[in-house]
Amino acid sequence: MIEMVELLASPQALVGLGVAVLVFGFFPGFILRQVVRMYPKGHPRRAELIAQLYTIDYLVRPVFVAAQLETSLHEGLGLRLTNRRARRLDRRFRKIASSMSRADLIAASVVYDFPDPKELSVVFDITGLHFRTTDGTRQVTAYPWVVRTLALVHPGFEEALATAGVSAPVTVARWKRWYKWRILRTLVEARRVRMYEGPPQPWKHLNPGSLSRFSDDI
Amino acid sequence: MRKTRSLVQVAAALLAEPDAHHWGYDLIKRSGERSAVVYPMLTKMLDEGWLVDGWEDPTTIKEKRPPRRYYELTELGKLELGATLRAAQTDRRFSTLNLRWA
Repeated sequence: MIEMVELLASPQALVGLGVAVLVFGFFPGFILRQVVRMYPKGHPRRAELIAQLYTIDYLVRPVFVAAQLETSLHEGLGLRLTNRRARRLDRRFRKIASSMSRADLIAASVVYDFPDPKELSVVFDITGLHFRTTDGTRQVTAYPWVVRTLALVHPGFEEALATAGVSAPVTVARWKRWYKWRILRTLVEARRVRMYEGPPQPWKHLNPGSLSRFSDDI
Repeated sequence: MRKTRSLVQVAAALLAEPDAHHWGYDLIKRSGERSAVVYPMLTKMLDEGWLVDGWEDPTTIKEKRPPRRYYELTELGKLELGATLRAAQTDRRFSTLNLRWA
Protein backbone atom coordinates (compact mmCIF):
# COMPACT_ATOMS: atom_id res chain seq x y z
CA MET A 1 0.00 0.00 0.00
CA ILE A 2 2.80 2.36 0.93
CA GLU A 3 4.53 1.51 -2.33
CA MET A 4 1.36 2.36 -4.21
CA VAL A 5 1.10 5.73 -2.49
CA GLU A 6 4.75 6.39 -3.23
CA LEU A 7 4.19 5.44 -6.84
CA LEU A 8 1.20 7.73 -7.17
CA ALA A 9 3.05 10.56 -5.49
CA SER A 10 6.08 10.21 -7.74
CA PRO A 11 6.82 13.14 -10.04
CA GLN A 12 6.26 11.01 -13.15
CA ALA A 13 2.78 9.98 -12.00
CA LEU A 14 1.84 13.54 -11.15
CA VAL A 15 3.08 14.80 -14.49
CA GLY A 16 1.11 12.03 -16.21
CA LEU A 17 -2.02 12.94 -14.29
CA GLY A 18 -1.52 16.60 -15.07
CA VAL A 19 -1.16 15.89 -18.78
CA ALA A 20 -4.27 13.67 -18.74
CA VAL A 21 -6.30 16.36 -17.01
CA LEU A 22 -5.00 18.99 -19.38
CA VAL A 23 -5.55 16.91 -22.49
CA PHE A 24 -8.93 15.39 -21.74
CA GLY A 25 -10.22 18.10 -19.44
CA PHE A 26 -9.31 21.26 -21.28
CA PHE A 27 -8.88 20.26 -24.91
CA PRO A 28 -11.46 17.54 -25.59
CA GLY A 29 -12.47 19.14 -28.89
CA PHE A 30 -8.88 19.28 -30.08
CA ILE A 31 -8.17 15.71 -28.99
CA LEU A 32 -11.38 14.43 -30.58
CA ARG A 33 -10.49 16.12 -33.85
CA GLN A 34 -7.21 14.25 -33.83
CA VAL A 35 -8.89 10.97 -32.87
CA VAL A 36 -11.49 11.09 -35.65
CA ARG A 37 -8.73 11.50 -38.21
CA MET A 38 -8.45 7.74 -38.01
CA TYR A 39 -11.58 7.65 -40.19
CA PRO A 40 -10.98 7.99 -43.93
CA LYS A 41 -11.08 11.49 -45.32
CA GLY A 42 -14.63 12.73 -45.89
CA HIS A 43 -16.24 10.03 -43.77
CA PRO A 44 -19.39 11.47 -42.15
CA ARG A 45 -18.51 9.98 -38.77
CA ARG A 46 -15.79 12.60 -38.38
CA ALA A 47 -18.24 15.49 -38.38
CA GLU A 48 -20.83 13.47 -36.49
CA LEU A 49 -18.63 12.77 -33.47
CA ILE A 50 -17.33 16.32 -33.29
CA ALA A 51 -20.86 17.72 -33.47
CA GLN A 52 -21.97 15.27 -30.80
CA LEU A 53 -19.27 16.47 -28.41
CA TYR A 54 -20.75 19.95 -28.13
CA THR A 55 -24.20 18.69 -27.20
CA ILE A 56 -23.12 16.78 -24.12
CA ASP A 57 -22.40 17.99 -20.64
CA TYR A 58 -18.99 19.58 -20.18
CA LEU A 59 -18.05 17.18 -17.37
CA VAL A 60 -18.84 14.11 -19.48
CA ARG A 61 -16.82 15.28 -22.48
CA PRO A 62 -13.48 13.76 -21.42
CA VAL A 63 -15.19 10.39 -21.00
CA PHE A 64 -16.89 10.80 -24.36
CA VAL A 65 -13.56 11.59 -26.04
CA ALA A 66 -11.95 8.55 -24.44
CA ALA A 67 -14.85 6.37 -25.68
CA GLN A 68 -14.46 7.74 -29.19
CA LEU A 69 -10.85 6.67 -29.16
CA GLU A 70 -12.11 3.11 -28.93
CA THR A 71 -14.72 3.75 -31.64
CA SER A 72 -12.17 5.26 -33.98
CA LEU A 73 -9.69 2.48 -33.39
CA HIS A 74 -12.36 -0.15 -33.92
CA GLU A 75 -14.23 1.32 -36.87
CA GLY A 76 -12.14 4.14 -38.33
CA LEU A 77 -8.79 2.46 -38.34
CA GLY A 78 -10.31 -0.67 -39.85
CA LEU A 79 -11.84 1.37 -42.66
CA ARG A 80 -8.60 3.21 -43.23
CA LEU A 81 -6.61 -0.02 -43.46
CA THR A 82 -9.18 -1.52 -45.83
CA ASN A 83 -8.99 1.60 -47.95
CA ARG A 84 -5.23 1.49 -48.00
CA ARG A 85 -5.27 -2.09 -49.21
CA ALA A 86 -7.96 -1.27 -51.73
CA ARG A 87 -6.03 1.71 -53.02
CA ARG A 88 -3.00 -0.51 -53.50
CA LEU A 89 -5.10 -2.94 -55.50
CA ASP A 90 -6.62 -0.05 -57.42
CA ARG A 91 -3.15 1.20 -58.35
CA ARG A 92 -2.33 -2.26 -59.63
CA PHE A 93 -5.50 -2.24 -61.69
CA ARG A 94 -4.57 1.15 -63.16
CA LYS A 95 -1.13 -0.19 -63.91
CA ILE A 96 -2.72 -3.05 -65.81
CA ALA A 97 -4.96 -0.61 -67.63
CA SER A 98 -2.01 1.62 -68.58
CA SER A 99 -0.20 -1.30 -70.14
CA MET A 100 -3.19 -2.33 -72.22
CA SER A 101 -3.77 -1.48 -75.84
CA ARG A 102 -6.47 0.99 -76.80
CA ALA A 103 -8.95 -1.81 -77.49
CA ASP A 104 -8.20 -3.35 -74.13
CA LEU A 105 -8.69 -0.01 -72.41
CA ILE A 106 -12.13 0.34 -73.93
CA ALA A 107 -12.96 -3.10 -72.61
CA ALA A 108 -11.49 -2.16 -69.24
CA SER A 109 -13.63 0.94 -69.02
CA VAL A 110 -16.66 -1.28 -69.41
CA VAL A 111 -15.30 -3.60 -66.77
CA TYR A 112 -14.91 -0.70 -64.42
CA ASP A 113 -18.68 -0.52 -64.11
CA PHE A 114 -18.59 -3.78 -62.22
CA PRO A 115 -20.51 -5.25 -60.37
CA ASP A 116 -23.16 -5.31 -63.10
CA PRO A 117 -23.48 -9.09 -63.56
CA LYS A 118 -24.05 -8.69 -67.28
CA GLU A 119 -20.55 -7.31 -67.68
CA LEU A 120 -18.92 -10.07 -65.76
CA SER A 121 -18.09 -11.75 -69.05
CA VAL A 122 -15.82 -8.81 -69.95
CA VAL A 123 -13.55 -9.81 -67.10
CA PHE A 124 -13.25 -13.22 -68.65
CA ASP A 125 -12.52 -11.66 -72.05
CA ILE A 126 -9.76 -9.50 -70.60
CA THR A 127 -8.26 -12.54 -68.98
CA GLY A 128 -8.23 -14.17 -72.40
CA LEU A 129 -6.49 -11.15 -73.91
CA HIS A 130 -3.66 -11.37 -71.44
CA PHE A 131 -3.06 -15.00 -72.18
CA ARG A 132 -3.49 -14.88 -75.94
CA THR A 133 -1.36 -17.10 -78.10
CA THR A 134 0.70 -15.58 -80.87
CA ASP A 135 2.85 -17.55 -83.35
CA GLY A 136 2.62 -20.66 -81.28
CA THR A 137 4.23 -18.94 -78.31
CA ARG A 138 2.27 -18.00 -75.26
CA GLN A 139 2.52 -14.25 -74.87
CA VAL A 140 2.03 -13.25 -71.32
CA THR A 141 2.00 -9.54 -70.66
CA ALA A 142 4.81 -8.74 -68.26
CA TYR A 143 3.25 -7.37 -65.11
CA PRO A 144 5.71 -7.30 -62.24
CA TRP A 145 3.30 -9.07 -59.93
CA VAL A 146 2.81 -11.97 -62.35
CA VAL A 147 6.49 -12.69 -62.69
CA ARG A 148 5.92 -16.33 -62.06
CA THR A 149 3.65 -16.44 -65.09
CA LEU A 150 6.61 -15.57 -67.28
CA ALA A 151 8.04 -18.91 -66.41
CA LEU A 152 5.40 -20.36 -68.69
CA VAL A 153 7.18 -19.06 -71.76
CA HIS A 154 10.47 -20.46 -70.59
CA PRO A 155 11.13 -23.76 -72.41
CA GLY A 156 12.89 -25.30 -69.42
CA PHE A 157 9.86 -24.69 -67.31
CA GLU A 158 7.62 -26.56 -69.74
CA GLU A 159 10.02 -29.49 -69.69
CA ALA A 160 9.97 -29.50 -65.94
CA LEU A 161 6.19 -29.49 -66.04
CA ALA A 162 6.13 -32.37 -68.49
CA THR A 163 8.53 -34.33 -66.28
CA ALA A 164 6.24 -33.73 -63.36
CA GLY A 165 3.32 -34.99 -65.43
CA VAL A 166 1.61 -31.61 -65.61
CA SER A 167 0.63 -30.41 -69.05
CA ALA A 168 1.25 -26.83 -70.04
CA PRO A 169 -2.40 -26.16 -71.00
CA VAL A 170 -3.49 -27.23 -67.54
CA THR A 171 -0.99 -24.85 -65.96
CA VAL A 172 -2.10 -22.03 -68.22
CA ALA A 173 -5.70 -22.75 -67.35
CA ARG A 174 -4.80 -22.54 -63.68
CA TRP A 175 -3.09 -19.22 -64.20
CA LYS A 176 -6.08 -17.92 -66.14
CA ARG A 177 -8.36 -18.87 -63.29
CA TRP A 178 -6.09 -17.23 -60.77
CA TYR A 179 -5.78 -14.09 -62.88
CA LYS A 180 -9.52 -13.89 -63.41
CA TRP A 181 -10.22 -13.86 -59.71
CA ARG A 182 -7.45 -11.36 -59.21
CA ILE A 183 -9.14 -8.97 -61.63
CA LEU A 184 -12.50 -9.52 -59.97
CA ARG A 185 -11.08 -8.85 -56.54
CA THR A 186 -9.34 -5.75 -57.78
CA LEU A 187 -12.55 -4.40 -59.20
CA VAL A 188 -14.51 -5.06 -56.07
CA GLU A 189 -11.85 -3.45 -53.92
CA ALA A 190 -11.56 -0.49 -56.26
CA ARG A 191 -15.27 0.07 -55.85
CA ARG A 192 -14.83 0.10 -52.10
CA VAL A 193 -12.21 2.80 -52.39
CA ARG A 194 -14.53 5.02 -54.28
CA MET A 195 -17.21 4.42 -51.68
CA TYR A 196 -15.23 6.16 -48.97
CA GLU A 197 -13.05 8.55 -50.92
CA GLY A 198 -15.42 11.25 -51.96
CA PRO A 199 -14.48 14.89 -51.83
CA PRO A 200 -14.39 16.12 -48.22
CA GLN A 201 -17.81 17.36 -47.18
CA PRO A 202 -17.41 19.53 -44.12
CA TRP A 203 -20.64 19.98 -42.25
CA LYS A 204 -20.58 23.75 -42.60
CA HIS A 205 -21.00 23.58 -46.36
CA LEU A 206 -24.01 21.31 -46.15
CA ASN A 207 -27.57 22.28 -46.70
CA PRO A 208 -29.96 20.58 -44.32
CA GLY A 209 -30.64 17.06 -45.40
CA SER A 210 -28.38 17.30 -48.40
CA LEU A 211 -25.90 14.74 -47.11
CA SER A 212 -27.21 11.59 -48.59
CA ARG A 213 -25.72 8.18 -47.81
CA PHE A 214 -22.08 8.12 -48.61
CA SER A 215 -22.48 5.19 -50.93
CA ASP A 216 -24.64 7.40 -53.15
CA ASP A 217 -21.48 9.18 -54.23
CA ILE A 218 -20.30 6.12 -56.13
CA MET B 1 -27.50 -8.99 -38.99
CA ARG B 2 -26.73 -11.35 -36.15
CA LYS B 3 -29.18 -11.17 -33.31
CA THR B 4 -26.97 -10.11 -30.46
CA ARG B 5 -27.74 -8.54 -27.14
CA SER B 6 -26.39 -5.23 -28.47
CA LEU B 7 -28.67 -5.33 -31.51
CA VAL B 8 -31.66 -6.01 -29.30
CA GLN B 9 -30.75 -3.15 -26.98
CA VAL B 10 -30.27 -0.71 -29.86
CA ALA B 11 -33.47 -1.93 -31.53
CA ALA B 12 -35.40 -1.31 -28.32
CA ALA B 13 -33.90 2.19 -28.07
CA LEU B 14 -34.84 2.97 -31.67
CA LEU B 15 -38.34 1.54 -31.45
CA ALA B 16 -39.10 3.41 -28.23
CA GLU B 17 -39.73 6.35 -30.56
CA PRO B 18 -40.08 4.86 -34.04
CA ASP B 19 -40.83 8.10 -35.88
CA ALA B 20 -38.38 10.37 -34.10
CA HIS B 21 -34.92 11.55 -35.07
CA HIS B 22 -32.31 9.62 -33.13
CA TRP B 23 -28.88 10.93 -32.24
CA GLY B 24 -25.89 8.64 -31.87
CA TYR B 25 -25.02 9.65 -28.31
CA ASP B 26 -28.65 9.49 -27.25
CA LEU B 27 -28.88 5.91 -28.56
CA ILE B 28 -25.69 4.99 -26.72
CA LYS B 29 -27.12 6.25 -23.46
CA ARG B 30 -30.53 4.65 -23.89
CA SER B 31 -29.23 1.32 -25.10
CA GLY B 32 -26.47 1.17 -22.50
CA GLU B 33 -24.03 -0.08 -25.14
CA ARG B 34 -20.54 1.23 -25.90
CA SER B 35 -20.13 3.71 -28.70
CA ALA B 36 -17.66 1.37 -30.41
CA VAL B 37 -20.55 -1.09 -30.71
CA VAL B 38 -23.39 1.29 -31.51
CA TYR B 39 -21.80 3.36 -34.28
CA PRO B 40 -20.70 0.39 -36.44
CA MET B 41 -24.15 -1.10 -35.88
CA LEU B 42 -25.81 2.10 -37.11
CA THR B 43 -23.62 1.95 -40.22
CA LYS B 44 -24.74 -1.63 -40.86
CA MET B 45 -28.37 -0.63 -40.38
CA LEU B 46 -27.92 2.21 -42.88
CA ASP B 47 -26.43 -0.25 -45.36
CA GLU B 48 -29.34 -2.63 -44.81
CA GLY B 49 -31.80 0.19 -45.44
CA TRP B 50 -33.25 0.01 -41.95
CA LEU B 51 -32.26 3.57 -41.21
CA VAL B 52 -31.83 6.80 -43.11
CA ASP B 53 -29.62 9.60 -41.92
CA GLY B 54 -29.45 13.35 -42.29
CA TRP B 55 -28.06 16.46 -40.68
CA GLU B 56 -29.69 18.97 -38.42
CA ASP B 57 -30.87 22.18 -40.00
CA PRO B 58 -28.17 24.72 -39.00
CA THR B 59 -30.76 27.52 -38.90
CA THR B 60 -32.66 25.80 -36.10
CA ILE B 61 -29.63 25.48 -33.81
CA LYS B 62 -29.64 28.09 -31.07
CA GLU B 63 -26.33 27.17 -29.43
CA LYS B 64 -22.95 27.73 -31.03
CA ARG B 65 -22.25 24.21 -32.27
CA PRO B 66 -22.12 22.24 -35.51
CA PRO B 67 -25.21 20.38 -36.74
CA ARG B 68 -25.59 16.81 -35.59
CA ARG B 69 -26.25 13.75 -37.69
CA TYR B 70 -29.57 12.08 -37.06
CA TYR B 71 -30.91 8.62 -37.81
CA GLU B 72 -34.49 7.81 -38.67
CA LEU B 73 -36.14 4.42 -38.95
CA THR B 74 -37.47 3.38 -42.34
CA GLU B 75 -40.57 1.22 -42.74
CA LEU B 76 -38.30 -1.73 -43.47
CA GLY B 77 -36.31 -0.96 -40.36
CA LYS B 78 -39.41 -0.84 -38.21
CA LEU B 79 -40.47 -4.23 -39.54
CA GLU B 80 -37.07 -5.86 -39.19
CA LEU B 81 -36.24 -4.46 -35.78
CA GLY B 82 -39.77 -5.12 -34.55
CA ALA B 83 -39.35 -8.74 -35.62
CA THR B 84 -35.98 -8.86 -33.87
CA LEU B 85 -37.51 -7.60 -30.64
CA ARG B 86 -40.44 -10.00 -30.84
CA ALA B 87 -38.04 -12.89 -31.36
CA ALA B 88 -35.87 -11.64 -28.49
CA GLN B 89 -38.84 -11.69 -26.12
CA THR B 90 -39.12 -15.43 -26.46
CA ASP B 91 -35.38 -16.04 -26.59
CA ARG B 92 -33.89 -17.16 -23.31
CA ARG B 93 -30.62 -15.39 -24.11
CA PHE B 94 -32.36 -12.04 -23.77
CA SER B 95 -34.62 -12.90 -20.84
CA THR B 96 -32.73 -10.52 -18.54
CA LEU B 97 -33.38 -7.53 -20.80
CA ASN B 98 -36.26 -5.21 -20.13
CA LEU B 99 -37.74 -4.96 -23.61
CA ARG B 100 -40.38 -2.34 -24.06
CA TRP B 101 -41.07 -0.33 -27.16
CA ALA B 102 -43.77 1.73 -28.76
